Amino acid sequence: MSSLGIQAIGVHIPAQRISNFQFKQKFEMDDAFITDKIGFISLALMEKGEGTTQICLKAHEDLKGKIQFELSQIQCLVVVTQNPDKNIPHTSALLHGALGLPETCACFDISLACSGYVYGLSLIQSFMASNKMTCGLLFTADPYSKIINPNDKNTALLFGDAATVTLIGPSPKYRTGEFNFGTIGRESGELTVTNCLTMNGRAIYNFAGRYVPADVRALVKKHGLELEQIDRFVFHQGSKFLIDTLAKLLGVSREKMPFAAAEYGNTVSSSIPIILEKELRDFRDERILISGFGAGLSWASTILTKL
Amino acid sequence: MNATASQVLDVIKKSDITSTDAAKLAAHLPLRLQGVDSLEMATIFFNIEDVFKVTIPHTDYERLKSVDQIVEYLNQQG
Repeated sequence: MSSLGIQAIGVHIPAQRISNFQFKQKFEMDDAFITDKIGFISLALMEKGEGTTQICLKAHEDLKGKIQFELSQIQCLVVVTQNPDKNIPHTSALLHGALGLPETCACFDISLACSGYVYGLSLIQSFMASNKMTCGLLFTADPYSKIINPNDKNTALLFGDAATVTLIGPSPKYRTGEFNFGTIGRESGELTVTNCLTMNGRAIYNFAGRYVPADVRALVKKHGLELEQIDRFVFHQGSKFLIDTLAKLLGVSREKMPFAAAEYGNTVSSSIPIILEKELRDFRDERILISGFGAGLSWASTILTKL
Repeated sequence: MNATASQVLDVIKKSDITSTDAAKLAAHLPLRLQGVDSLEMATIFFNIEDVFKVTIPHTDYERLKSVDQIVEYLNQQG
């Protein structure tokens, strides 16, 4: 097993917020539906003129304030995004240029949504281990404000902008275990972008309800564990209703399965690392099960172990 | 299949809906008109699929608005 793992996480959640309560009349909703079901009372919005690359750089600034490392040591930079500033070049190359990284640094993007951070952890660590690298950065940044139709009741109250960066190195605080991955490509049309994002909410709910609990149980068994031995379940923050449903289906208490995104929204691939950043600061939970699921339809999960 | 309104209402009661009182739902009226919200509709149909062992395509889901319509649909599935 690789010695690499999660050393630190930097987070950027833009200060600007859109209140979801302003949409009550437009979408014929009451306060309780927003706070208790959707769960997002406000959505983070990146500044006008800002893009995916800029919010990544801000996440990097946050990381620099938490851990000492030299940019000259970075051997691998990966960005998880489906909303780059440009299709060509890849966003990781733009960041490489902005950060002045060594010319020997490997850079590539991963096109995944809500499962992207978990896939990203597996991919960057495997790539680094097989190429004898010891220092890498995994960014997530998928600002859906670029693609949301403000008149679409199904999506306009869900997504917030954010970026994270995870330092992967040989002195980790948490190490990943074995991973589970999955895809249901025949249902990919249920969450897609033509001119803007469209989502079949019921289909996504059914997908999450049918596949995530089964995946979690299989993952725990794969690790030779029982569900009760997991200290925290950090799931993709699709909505409060989804987290409530998954907690109920798994028989897990809400204390163990936080819904933490009320004030900034569903940040896609950033939703898991935003919560993990706090876990790293607290450094208390021995085993954290992370599960990302969404567009694709795609899912990935693993168990992080405290070192 | 011999689904009944009573069985479907039982599934709804066990779905832990909070938007309205499940015990007071009328079988002939649209559930949304009786206060069931859109997210809880998804939960109800998820549970109906589980209990009655059917898959309800989205096109059918959209037109099944009341308990009576759901019962009729289930009994057509064989």
